[in-house]
Amino acid sequence: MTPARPPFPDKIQLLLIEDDVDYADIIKMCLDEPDSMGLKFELERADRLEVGLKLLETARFDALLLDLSLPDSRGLDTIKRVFDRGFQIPILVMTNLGDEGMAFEAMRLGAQDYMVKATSDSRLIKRAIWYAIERQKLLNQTESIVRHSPDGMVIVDEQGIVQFVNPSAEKLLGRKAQELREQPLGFPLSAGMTRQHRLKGPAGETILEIRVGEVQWRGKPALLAVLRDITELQRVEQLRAEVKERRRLDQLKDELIGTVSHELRTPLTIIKGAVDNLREGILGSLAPRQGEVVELAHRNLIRLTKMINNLLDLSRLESGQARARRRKADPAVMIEEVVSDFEARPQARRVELRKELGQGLPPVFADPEMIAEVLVNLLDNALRFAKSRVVVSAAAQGGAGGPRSVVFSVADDGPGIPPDKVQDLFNKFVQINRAVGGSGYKGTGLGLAISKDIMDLHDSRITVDSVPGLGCRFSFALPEFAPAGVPAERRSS
Amino acid sequence: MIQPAPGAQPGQPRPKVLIIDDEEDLVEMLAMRLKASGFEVDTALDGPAGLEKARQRPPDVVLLDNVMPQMEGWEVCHRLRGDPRTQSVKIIVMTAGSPGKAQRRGREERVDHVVFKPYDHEELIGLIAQTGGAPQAPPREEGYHA
Repeated sequence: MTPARPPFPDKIQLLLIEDDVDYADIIKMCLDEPDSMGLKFELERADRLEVGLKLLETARFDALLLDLSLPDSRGLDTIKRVFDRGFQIPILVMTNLGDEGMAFEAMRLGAQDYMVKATSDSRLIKRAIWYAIERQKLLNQTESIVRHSPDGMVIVDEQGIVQFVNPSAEKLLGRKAQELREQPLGFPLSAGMTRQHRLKGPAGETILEIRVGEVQWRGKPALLAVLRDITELQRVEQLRAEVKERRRLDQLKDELIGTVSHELRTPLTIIKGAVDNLREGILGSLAPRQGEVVELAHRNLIRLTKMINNLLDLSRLESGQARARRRKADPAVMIEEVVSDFEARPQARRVELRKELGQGLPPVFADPEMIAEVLVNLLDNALRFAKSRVVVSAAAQGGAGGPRSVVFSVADDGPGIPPDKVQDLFNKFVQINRAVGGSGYKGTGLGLAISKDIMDLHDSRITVDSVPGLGCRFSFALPEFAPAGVPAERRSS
Repeated sequence: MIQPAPGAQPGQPRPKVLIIDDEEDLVEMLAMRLKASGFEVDTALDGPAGLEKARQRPPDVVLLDNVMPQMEGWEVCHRLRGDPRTQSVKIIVMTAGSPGKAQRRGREERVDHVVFKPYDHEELIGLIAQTGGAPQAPPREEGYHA
């Protein structure tokens, strides 16, 4: 709880701009009269408007008592001049008897109250001053809300002419209040409407949300438009929609690849069967040229088969159907099995294929069939690009209190990969245009994408070191198998 | 060149293989190769016809497509296993479907092997020989890919 504030300030500072010395004295006497509220006033007088305005600039006053017929200013012009100078002070205008019409007009312009100069009732004068101050406070409060509102506020009259603009609206519309006031807004507004409006500015397009309500402005029906910058919000919404759409397309594509590769398998089996029967001479032996053509068909069928298998693998991996059955696996056995398969291949004959198995390799926690597929893909690439040598290696890493792992790598002495292409390597259907070794054998462009997905299922990733002209090395690490607390089978997401 | 069918020793009966597949061309190419390799081959282009042939003259090995219009391969399997005349026939299912699903189903239906199209003739022949001669064993644990 804050201590209760005294209901009234110690002293109310007043400025009286009045050239009639007698009336000034009457007011001073009235204000000095003691009252039940204990209000104390301090009155300063100026006999001309310009003198008064100077005083307003230099000292602080709680209220202004303003005569409307001064030597240097007469009538409503007087009050306008006060406002034009930007003073925001409660004003009580003083008029002669019979001039109430002008007093009302002054209040319409922003004066808080008026007094007829014939008044010499102390209570009446004090109350009028007090009310003026309180009314101004309320007004200031409301104005402060409007001024500091982060939403832009614009008031237009029934003709669509701008009457009021708050600072946020100035900022949103990119124009000053002076430029906007008394001009059409530039787009139609109607009560109850909510719409978006695109504004082209020097810094790009801004999207405004505009909501419109009915208000009274200076006693006449008007429209209040609340403006909010939703550019960022819209951008986020749009991004979200794009991401959703991309995910849908990805899913569609995975399904399509899956279906197509299944559908292709039966005709492929038949063609393979037919070519095989020709190759085996079941239908009679072939002339040398016929045999060459059949061999060519056979080679390309193997390629097509591999591609379809890769597509299917990839679609299963990417749709989350493929599970990694991680278990205890021997790194040396995995490498030896893959390498011995390769040694039988013709591509391997033109290069030296070497294994380098480190000492004391611990078993790893991995799906050995999946890891074999990764090694096959890496070796396939390495053999394709190597000049004379491919090295497959495994080495233990870590330990001494920390977790141990085994780093597998496949290195070749081929042309390497341009640094700017490394990023693309793991994308689907990307075949970096490296100068091909000598086999002329082409890949499917899917091997590394599959390998990447498999490593994702193993919470690991493939890193590439490449020195253009000298070769490159692909490596990945697998954690040591820990008998206790082995994580359960993971699914790809 | 073509390997003679294992077990096709002079004087011994040749192993009998029944192919049940609705793909006529596939049946023709496969039968051509198996015959050339020394197997005795019979064929059927749908499930019911295949069952009928299997019951009348039980083969050593049935090569069965799993997707067929009239009666799917798994149902044919089920009926072969449920009939005393054919319950001990060796069954190799040929599928173009996804490996995981086919292997699970294969285990349920007690098939001897599941092979995936496009299979290699040579490997398939090896498998038929191995299956046709050996006692019924639980289905082999296939690799991640095959």
